Amino acid sequence: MRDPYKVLGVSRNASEEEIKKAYRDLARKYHPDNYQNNPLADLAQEKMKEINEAYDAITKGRAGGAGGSEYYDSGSAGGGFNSGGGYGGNSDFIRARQAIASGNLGLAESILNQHQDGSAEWHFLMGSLNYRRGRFEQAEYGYRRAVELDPGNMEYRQALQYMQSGGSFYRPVTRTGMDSIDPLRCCGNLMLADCCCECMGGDLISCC
Amino acid sequence: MFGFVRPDKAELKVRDYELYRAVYCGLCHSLKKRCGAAGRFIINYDFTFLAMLLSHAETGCSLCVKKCVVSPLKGRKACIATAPDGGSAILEACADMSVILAWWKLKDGMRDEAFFKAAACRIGAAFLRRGYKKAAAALPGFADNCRKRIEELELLERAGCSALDDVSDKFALILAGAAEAAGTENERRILSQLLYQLGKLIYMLDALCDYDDDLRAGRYNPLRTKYGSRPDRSALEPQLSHILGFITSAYELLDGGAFSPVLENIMYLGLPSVVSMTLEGRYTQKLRKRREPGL
Repeated sequence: MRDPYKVLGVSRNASEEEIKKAYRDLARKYHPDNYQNNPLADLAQEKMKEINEAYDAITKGRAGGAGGSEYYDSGSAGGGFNSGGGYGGNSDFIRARQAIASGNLGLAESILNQHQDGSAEWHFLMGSLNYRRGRFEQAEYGYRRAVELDPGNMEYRQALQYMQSGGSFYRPVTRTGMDSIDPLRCCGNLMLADCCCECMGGDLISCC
Repeated sequence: MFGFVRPDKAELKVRDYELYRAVYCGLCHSLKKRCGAAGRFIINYDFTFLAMLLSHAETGCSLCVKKCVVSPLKGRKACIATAPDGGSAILEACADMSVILAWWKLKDGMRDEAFFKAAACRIGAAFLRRGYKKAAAALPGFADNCRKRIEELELLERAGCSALDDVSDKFALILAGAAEAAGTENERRILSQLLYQLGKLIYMLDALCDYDDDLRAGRYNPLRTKYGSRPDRSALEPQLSHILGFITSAYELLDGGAFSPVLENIMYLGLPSVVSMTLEGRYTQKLRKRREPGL
């Protein structure tokens, strides 16, 4: 195993708070939610496992075996949207689902091509397959058709909603918003306003 | 085709900005070595990004002051290798790739543009011919893949293909080809996914940017059949957001290095603002072609 301190990117004499913060930041980054149906989900899962182990090793080592209770779940990465959801009875579709989840897209495609029954589940699985391939237009179409055909299915609706909302991905802390105020333009605007006021007989800036 | 991948300059630290400029300079010098003075005209920021991305894990780069036409007396700090003590292989590869893509862009212009512009493209291609031959000899795999994809793209365009996924896929596969140089298997997977999505993004932004011009000139545009004469730009927003998400989520799996601050700036600030500016119709040709590095 790699040096746990290096994995978390902290120095050996970092305080408990610093370690916790570094761990939380990394866990937020590699959380399965950011890699939903992503072709690289397995790598993110490995990273998650690595940082969980590193955090565990450090806290255990420090507290003499006590810590390490607070844990991020590295659970269902790589799966579809709701891998626990109602699987249809069709065994081929179950195989297709598994193939998509494990990244074997060629197999999934050939199964789905063989069973083009135009059902809601078929459209949903085509949507999932296309999403994983990064073919988002087709993915959206597949999810939409699935919802149209079976409006009551939560799994399909969730997938469509996720697609149309633009997804949820990790973003570092965003910048502070002063950038929209351009000092030069601000000055110019003030001068212009002053001129306008003077034209109308008033005055905004008395000294000019 | 180019001019979308830029950092948000105002948010860069000065030292990172200087690093970025140095890589840009270094790339320009590599281009000059490859195809003489003509190389200076095809230097762009997108390939500066690519050079940094392909050297993502390096802890620094070797700098040296070089003089050129732009700064003949004082010279500028140029990065001669994107590693603290290594060869300039990545810079040279990126220079070659940009020559190859520029060459095909000129070829494309020779065919599609109106008389005068086509003539200009012809002259440009004449200047670039020798450089292209050398670059294609240095990167036979990339050049071959590029030619094949562009032929496929042409076929689709001629057929008036309206499936955005299909046309953008061809262009995306060209960029994904740049990941071949990566070291480990995992790294190759990550980089080719990242570059594939970046290629899609560039293709779609390009189609959005050129929409009005293409419509006026009666040229092919992939959005045309779908959106008619007035595109609903916001309809593309969710797709673009997923593409950006796939790009950043792939990037986060790479090891960081000296270039991380610049790369992160481009990923999380530069690209999103270019996307939103394009969606609002504010990212014009003039902005794309400007020589200023930042937004």
